[in-house]
Amino acid sequence: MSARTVKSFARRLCLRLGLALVLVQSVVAAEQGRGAVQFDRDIRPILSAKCFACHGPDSAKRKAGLRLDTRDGLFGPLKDGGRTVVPRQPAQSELLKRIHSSDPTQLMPPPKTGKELTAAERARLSQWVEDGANWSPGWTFTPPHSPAIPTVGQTTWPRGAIDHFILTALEQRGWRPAAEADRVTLIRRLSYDLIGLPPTPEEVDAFLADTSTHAYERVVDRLLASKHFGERMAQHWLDLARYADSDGYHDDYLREMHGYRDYVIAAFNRNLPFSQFTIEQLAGDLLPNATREQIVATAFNRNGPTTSENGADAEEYRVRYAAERVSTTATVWLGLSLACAECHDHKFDPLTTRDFYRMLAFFNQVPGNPLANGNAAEPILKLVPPGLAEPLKQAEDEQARTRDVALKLYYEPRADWDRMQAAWEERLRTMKLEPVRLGDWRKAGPFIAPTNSEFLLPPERAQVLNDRAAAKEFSWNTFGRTVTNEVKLAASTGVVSLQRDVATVTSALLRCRLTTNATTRVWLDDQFIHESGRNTESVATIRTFNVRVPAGRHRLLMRVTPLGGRGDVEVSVSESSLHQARIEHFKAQVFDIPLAQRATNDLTLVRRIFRELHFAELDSAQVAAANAQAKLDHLAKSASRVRIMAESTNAVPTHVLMRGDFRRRGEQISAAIPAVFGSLPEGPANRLALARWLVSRENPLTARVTVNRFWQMVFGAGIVKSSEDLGAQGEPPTHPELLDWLAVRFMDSGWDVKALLREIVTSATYRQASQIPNSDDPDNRWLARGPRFRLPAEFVRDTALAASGLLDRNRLPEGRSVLPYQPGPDLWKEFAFGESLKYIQDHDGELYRRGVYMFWKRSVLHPYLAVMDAPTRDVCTARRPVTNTPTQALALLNETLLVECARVLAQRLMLEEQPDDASRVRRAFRLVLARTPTEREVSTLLALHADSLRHYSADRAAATKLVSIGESARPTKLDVAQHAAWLCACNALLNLDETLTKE
Amino acid sequence: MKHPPSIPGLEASSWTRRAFLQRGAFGFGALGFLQAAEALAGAASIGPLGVMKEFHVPPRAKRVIFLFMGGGPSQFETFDPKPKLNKLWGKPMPSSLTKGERVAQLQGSPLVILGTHRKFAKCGKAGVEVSDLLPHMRKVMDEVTVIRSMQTDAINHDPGVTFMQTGHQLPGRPAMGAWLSYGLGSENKNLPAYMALLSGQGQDQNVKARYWTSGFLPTIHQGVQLRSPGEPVFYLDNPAGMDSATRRRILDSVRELNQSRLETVGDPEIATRIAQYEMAYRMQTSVPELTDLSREPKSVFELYGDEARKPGTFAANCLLARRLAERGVRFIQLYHRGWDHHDGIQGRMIQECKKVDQPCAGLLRDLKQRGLLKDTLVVWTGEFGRTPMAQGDAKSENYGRDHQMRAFTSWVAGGGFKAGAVHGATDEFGYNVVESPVHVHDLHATILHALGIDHLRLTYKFQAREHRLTDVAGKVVPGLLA
Repeated sequence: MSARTVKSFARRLCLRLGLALVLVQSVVAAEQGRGAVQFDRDIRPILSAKCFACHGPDSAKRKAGLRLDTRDGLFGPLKDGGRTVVPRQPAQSELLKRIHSSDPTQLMPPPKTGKELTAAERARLSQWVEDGANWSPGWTFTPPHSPAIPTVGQTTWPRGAIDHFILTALEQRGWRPAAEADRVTLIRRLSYDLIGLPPTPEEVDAFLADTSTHAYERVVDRLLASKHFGERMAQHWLDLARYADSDGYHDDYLREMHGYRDYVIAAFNRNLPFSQFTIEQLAGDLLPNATREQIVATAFNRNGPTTSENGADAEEYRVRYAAERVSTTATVWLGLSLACAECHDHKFDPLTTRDFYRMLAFFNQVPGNPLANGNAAEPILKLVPPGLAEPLKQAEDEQARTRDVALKLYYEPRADWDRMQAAWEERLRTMKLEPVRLGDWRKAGPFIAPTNSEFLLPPERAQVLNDRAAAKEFSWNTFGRTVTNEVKLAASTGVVSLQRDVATVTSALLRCRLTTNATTRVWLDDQFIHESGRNTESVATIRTFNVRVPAGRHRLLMRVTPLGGRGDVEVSVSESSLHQARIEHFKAQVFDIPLAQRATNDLTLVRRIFRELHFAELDSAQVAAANAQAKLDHLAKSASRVRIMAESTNAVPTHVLMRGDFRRRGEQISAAIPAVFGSLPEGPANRLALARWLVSRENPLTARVTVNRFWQMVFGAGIVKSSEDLGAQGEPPTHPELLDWLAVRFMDSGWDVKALLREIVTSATYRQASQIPNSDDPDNRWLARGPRFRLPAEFVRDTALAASGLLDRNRLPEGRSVLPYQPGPDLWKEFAFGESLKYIQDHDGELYRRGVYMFWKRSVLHPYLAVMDAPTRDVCTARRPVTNTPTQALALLNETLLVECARVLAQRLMLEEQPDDASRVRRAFRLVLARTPTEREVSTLLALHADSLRHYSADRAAATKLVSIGESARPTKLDVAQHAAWLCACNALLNLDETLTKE
Repeated sequence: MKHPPSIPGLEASSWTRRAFLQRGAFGFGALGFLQAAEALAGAASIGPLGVMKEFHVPPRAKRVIFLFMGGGPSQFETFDPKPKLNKLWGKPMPSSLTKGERVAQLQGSPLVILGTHRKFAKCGKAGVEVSDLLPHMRKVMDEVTVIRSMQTDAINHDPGVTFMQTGHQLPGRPAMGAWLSYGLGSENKNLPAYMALLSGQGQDQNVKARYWTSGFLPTIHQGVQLRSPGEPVFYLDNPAGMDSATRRRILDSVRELNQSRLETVGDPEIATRIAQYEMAYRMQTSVPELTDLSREPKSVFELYGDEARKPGTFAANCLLARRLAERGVRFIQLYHRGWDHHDGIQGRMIQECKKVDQPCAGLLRDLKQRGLLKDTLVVWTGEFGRTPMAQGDAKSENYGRDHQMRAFTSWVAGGGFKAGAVHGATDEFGYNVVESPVHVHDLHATILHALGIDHLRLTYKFQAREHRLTDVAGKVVPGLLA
């Protein structure tokens, strides 16, 4: 090294050190208010983001045998005798030397990884070592302990413990909480948070009029007791449960899982303890004396997407479904992304691949074909709506009875028939069988349709015998050569007679096929034998009936009277060829064997053929059975078949799969919780044991994860913002003590969800006004104001329904998924191929159900839901994005239901007694936004109304079109131009930012 | 050292963001998708909703037209001739090749070699072999690089398409177009950055809205379906009986009321809302203008073929793709269905090739004559290819081919990719890649590279880790680039 380079190197080093010092000072200054460096909050996130990939839990990727995710790794001796971190000794701490090194080969993290530390991060690590390098195993894996409630300066503000925690953090920053929001804002906020609907003007008035001390709490209690509470909570839970009404993969067949949604809504409404809610969903089927509801709850783990793609590998998907259950369970109850460990040890949290597959073993025992689709994917539980149970039972009995009658006729030993069968067989044995010979069709007519009485005799005979004149006109004509078996007649022709000769060497069965758009009467050798189609439908569908002919020559006569519907009338007669071929077979193989000695199959088949050939009562028994079956099928449609969990009786071994590949099996393992959490108590390691552990005090996570998500539901972001990930890569909690306090409180209360929510929404923190001060906290992470964010897709829609009055608030909170208006032609068909599923839109009350009941077809989510950030639910979703896009604006302005709501809201304004238009505008504001508008707002909407009225008075045709949108009734007495003008004002109102936003 | 060029327009929109945050600053006029994303982005270079501030590598292309051939077209009837298969037609496949390898519908069936009736000719300066089913493509092969060595990980349609679109077989990840929207934003303030067009309705296979999903990225990056016939974008049209002037009056009132709310509340989200409603209004003009083909001259329809006059056809969508490219839409996704030929492959290939041949060639010519091909990357690919083995009786005329993931053919053109070349090769059975394999992850990495993005650096943190389009793999293929 030359002198020159040494000098420049020294200068660079000085510069670097000086710079580092300045940065340390400035960063420390900037972080005053953060308090002392805390390992969990300040250090672990840096190590996790920048170091763990090579020095973390993943043993396969670990470099130099060094790990920084454990205490031993950080403080223990290095191979060369040095130490990574020596508390209060920066010079001896290899970690600091390496992160400050100017030698690129020594510098950590290596520049090529692209994970360079920022100056602030370096400074924080140095500070940490100087301060004594405190360490904790990570709050995530340490059970929560209730911390002391901190004391605050502004002692008059807090209403409860929550406020102490929040205010402490604010005071550390020198911030003050916002003033309490006004009462109208509060009741609106509460209504959205607890029932997902805006308050009615009457509810607002009652609250404003209630001057008692506990007026606010009374509103809270009323809302918590509302049956809409469960609907609101289901909106939140169904994203986690990835609830959907279709399979998701490939053809995306429809399912009938709404029984599960009913369960979720009911569970929240009756305030089922969250611990029990957990146990029932994960293992309801394994509970002793499990109730029907508890079994329905297990649909949670059958909600995941499934495939029935032709050519798919059943084992591959069986494993996939189990893996999906693991990652969902981990996200929902542990707030950990265990899915990473499917292919390799987790890079940031102490979770190994082995842990993943040991968890998978809990979910790996579901019987049934993994490639079955829709509601055929066993195991299944049939759910019958109340009121239908009895009719369904009757139909089932009738179906069983008629089936038994038919079976008896077909197959049961019967001395007289068996004797005849023996004679028949004997005859056939010596006979050369020939196909039945059917002569050419001959036709007479068409004639003008006769009166009913004339139907009684074959007209040919009547005419020939009694009416010579008619007989002259009556003549049989053959068809052209092209006609073979099938005759086609125009549906508009008159009565036609058809005739053909039949010759057979033995008794034979003829199959006649007739379209039902004609009445057909049939005679064999002048004996009337059949009538079909009389006074039935005029659309052509096919019916068949049998004609039995003994050996010999016969004449078959048919009289066809078209009913004048659509399509040709078609008639055909042919021999049941199946019988011919089979008889030949049995002649050679079976007839020599006495009845008593025949194999079951031969016995039943020959018997069936013989009886079909000879006894017409088989036909009627079969028809009766078919009718009973059809009736049962029809009724069964109202029942649903919900997929549930069950344990296979044949235990499937579970293996670790290399890189998640189902064909590369490693070590065989058994079910267990991840090792970092210890082990399950004694007893069988099954889903029930897992579920009980999840809600036990030993598990550090479920209570934290759950309260954090409820916090997110109310405030827009969790105390840990990444509510799906509380692990090392997740964001550190803003208020860790509060999180733990709430978690312990939640467990102590017996996992009481309503009590938890009550605690949150009665806090002073919650009651703050949400106006945005000019603060350093634009995302409101420190809660110096109330929450303000856009409502989820469902509630925006519910708001319009509620304001217009289209929402039936008395409807029971349950039921099947509904198919509302859809834009454009059938989108389902547009996306599918082949015989696709049609979108059959609902009508009447079903159109106006709350958003939580909207049909969730994964491959073609309703476009309104899709643009409004609703997830497809292909995967478990712990938080929805909240975006603000032009396509949302288009949907909110133009979607049919929302326009209809504006139309019906306009009707409501026009029909209610109001002194003037300004009062109508005020009323509309109160219905939609709960509050009274300012004079300026009133005049804006009045001007819009006036301008629109001018336009529509001049164009009444356009007005008529506009006020005809939607299927709900419209009073004809309303003036169309006025109605259209009010519709425009309401459309504007429903599109205000405030309308879409919880404030 | 040369600095990578910055993305034009970003400085201006950063200014806009500041304007948003200053109360009362309402002089901003046109705000679009790009600015909305930017406004929400925060300060970090690639924040949680952010756009890139500068290119990672010098960009070659500005946009992508992705011609997805849903169902998996056969390489043996199009771009990868295998005379040996004709010689061994009807003979068993060598089990040394197929043993232990995955098939889909051929599970448990004997594997019999299938030849083809197609004739191949060497085309263009490089003599690229193209079958007689693609007479128009034969004439533009100087613009095209055929990749005969494509490989994927998925054997079935749903995971296969999901993989090609998102780099992962299971749903939940963002599609390529969403990544580009996230990274680069839109060049047009009146149109979304990512648009999807479908054709071949009712033909196999089916399609799902999640093929153009934003996954865990913010929904603003979701592909917007451009539909035809009918309303081209969901909810674009005003309700029956409401004209544009009335809509404007309503929007003026909404704007006025929202502004007064903004003054009271001070939430910049309201400013964004106002801007998005204005954008929606402009889309009501810009989208119909975009989809109106009536002003296109006859010569253009001669390029794409007469089918281009029929809304909803692949030909019409190709013409729309060119119009979208002209308007700076970042990622234009065409999805044509009808290539899943498990049976009747000879006849059905004739039909499908006829639907796409002239439109593809026409699109390349049209882009070229407008100077757009140099910065527009066109990609033609299925989710996988088809087997050299027959499905059904190889000697009848109703046979088909099963799914093949180990080797299939795609092509690329324009956008700084090599022109007039063949990349990679398969063995004489067309079963394995023997030269220069291009995995789907590699194709993704190379596409991003061409657009100025290092695939390792365009990331988004979700569920404990930084995700990227190429998952944990992918390498740029220099051999594909000019």
